[in-house]
Amino acid sequence: MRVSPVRASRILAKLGRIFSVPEDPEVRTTGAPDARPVLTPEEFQQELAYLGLSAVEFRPGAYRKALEPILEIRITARVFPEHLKPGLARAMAREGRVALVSYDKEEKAATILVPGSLPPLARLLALNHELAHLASGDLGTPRRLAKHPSLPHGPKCDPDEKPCPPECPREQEAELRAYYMTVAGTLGPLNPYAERMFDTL
Amino acid sequence: MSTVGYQQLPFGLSVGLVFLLIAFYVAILSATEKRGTRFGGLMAAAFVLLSLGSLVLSFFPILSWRIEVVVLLVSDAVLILLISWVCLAQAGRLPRRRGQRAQSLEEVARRPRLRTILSAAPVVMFGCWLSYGTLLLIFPAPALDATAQAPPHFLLAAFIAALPEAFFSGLAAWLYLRASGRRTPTRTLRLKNLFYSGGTFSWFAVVLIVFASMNAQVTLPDDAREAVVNGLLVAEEIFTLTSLLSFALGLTLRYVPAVSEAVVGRVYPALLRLQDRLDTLRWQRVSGGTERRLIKASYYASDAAELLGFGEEDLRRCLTTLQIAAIMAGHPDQARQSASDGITPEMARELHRLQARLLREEALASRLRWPTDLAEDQDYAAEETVGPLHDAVEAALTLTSRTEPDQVDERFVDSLWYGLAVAAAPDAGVIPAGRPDGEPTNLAGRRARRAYHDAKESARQMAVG
Repeated sequence: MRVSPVRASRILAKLGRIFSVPEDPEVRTTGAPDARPVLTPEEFQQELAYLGLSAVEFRPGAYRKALEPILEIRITARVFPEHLKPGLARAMAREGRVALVSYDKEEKAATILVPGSLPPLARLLALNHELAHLASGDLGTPRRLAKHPSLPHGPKCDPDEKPCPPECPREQEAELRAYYMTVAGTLGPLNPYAERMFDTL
Repeated sequence: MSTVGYQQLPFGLSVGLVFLLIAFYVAILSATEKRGTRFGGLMAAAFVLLSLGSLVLSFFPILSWRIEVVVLLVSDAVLILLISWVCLAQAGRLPRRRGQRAQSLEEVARRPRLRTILSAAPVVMFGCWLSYGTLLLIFPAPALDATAQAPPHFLLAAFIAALPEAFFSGLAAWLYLRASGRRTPTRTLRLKNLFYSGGTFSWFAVVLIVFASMNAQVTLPDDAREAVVNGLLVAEEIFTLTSLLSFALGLTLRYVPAVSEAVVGRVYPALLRLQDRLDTLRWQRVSGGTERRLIKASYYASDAAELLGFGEEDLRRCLTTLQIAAIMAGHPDQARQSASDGITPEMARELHRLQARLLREEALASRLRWPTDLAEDQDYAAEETVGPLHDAVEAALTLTSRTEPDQVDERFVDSLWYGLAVAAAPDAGVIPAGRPDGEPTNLAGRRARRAYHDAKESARQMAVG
């Protein structure tokens, strides 16, 4: 009996799930209905390995370049000097927005804007945060890097009008991913989660 | 894996082997008790079981082919269990001890289909084991006596047994070989994976040897068969011993991560969260244009810094101190000031503590730096490190706690940047204006105050002019 490659792959995947590690009952969840576990450092390291960035130091530019072919979109990140767009920087500061991201479905292009006047770490985290949203598939890109589907917004969110509050599940996961990205990018081969991927027994 | 080799050994050697392996079992357990999985104990137990089996066989010869088939199935099940364990560990499917979550090999994470294939190893191999086991139980053959002539269907059973075992053991060996390459972060991990590769390759070799031996039972005439099989048995024993030693060496090699997971998983992200909040608030208050007094005081301080001639890093310390102190002290111009909008002294102390904790980590301290320019084609030409912010947080805590001059940390006493921050503090709204704070008693403080007043006066004259 001939089995198509797609069906064979699904059968193998189902068989694989039989032997999957049972969920840790004490693992953190987002608290929302139909909650799923939040992203763990191990899962993020697996994503980095898939991008070819595990156990290496990297900057947001390298992450962006590795992400583009996975999401099948073009990503542009711009750090704009405050003296060129003082009104925009002031408006963002007053609204509490440290970065802007938009995705054009027709052009399959995402743009991230970050003010240059932000302190270095805040600027780095802002850029990583928006890249994290793209990686999670929060902006409706053709594909996503994350294994799990995108988390919903919280009940008090109105992303078109104002920044989401800190308790928004989607923002929480993007924040986590940005932190992991920053830690992994600065530690490189010293990252113990990267080392553990070479010590399986 | 066949136990024929062991059946041929003299009795004394079998006993010695059993005791050796028991001692080995204890050694492996004690060395691997803190390891991620229980593979060491499993492998040692497997070899003890096989040695005990050969010991029993040397006392009680097997009288029927069906019982030989059962013994073969048991010994093959042990090998399949070991290969499956390794494949599942490589796929990240095995639970780990010490509360760690499983991770796959880096090579497997880069190729998700490999993970699916490795995860299916136990099902495929045990499925084939059931198939050829059923065949041989219905149509028995001399499964343990490798020198005896076997019927043709024995070859089919050999093929069904050998193919999946050879595939998965070979795949596991290749993956461990890749994991011993240049991408591996440390030399110890490279060596471990090289040993594991040697161990799994030995299993691959044993499977091929057993297949060849079973093939010889069916196809070769009596004279040639005995010579070939005896040679194959010796080779099988050598590879079996090699696999045992390779895994023992790999498992007992210990490596200690340069930075602990507790620091990377909890302390570092906690620092990032707090510092990000602080930096964002500083930026919002200054760039948003709402902290007018702070902005003016910062301009005067920058001019004064130029008069005093100190560098960029000290100016950053001074201005950051003012900004943090202003956020902590609150400002009468702010329409809304709540704990969620600001940074409390407790949070600042926690940030300071986390910074100090990370700066004590030798391997990590040099990597706590972030690019001041995110242009992609440039190297890390300019970076901000944690040090200046660490000083600024401590200085801001000192300022806002109204510390008496003779109780200020001596690192700050003779610092021009701290003296300048103290001079600018009333204008920034940190210490209420009009509070009698007196002339500083130290030289640096007096110089800084004079420079600040000169800069302020100069700016006023320019505004009037």
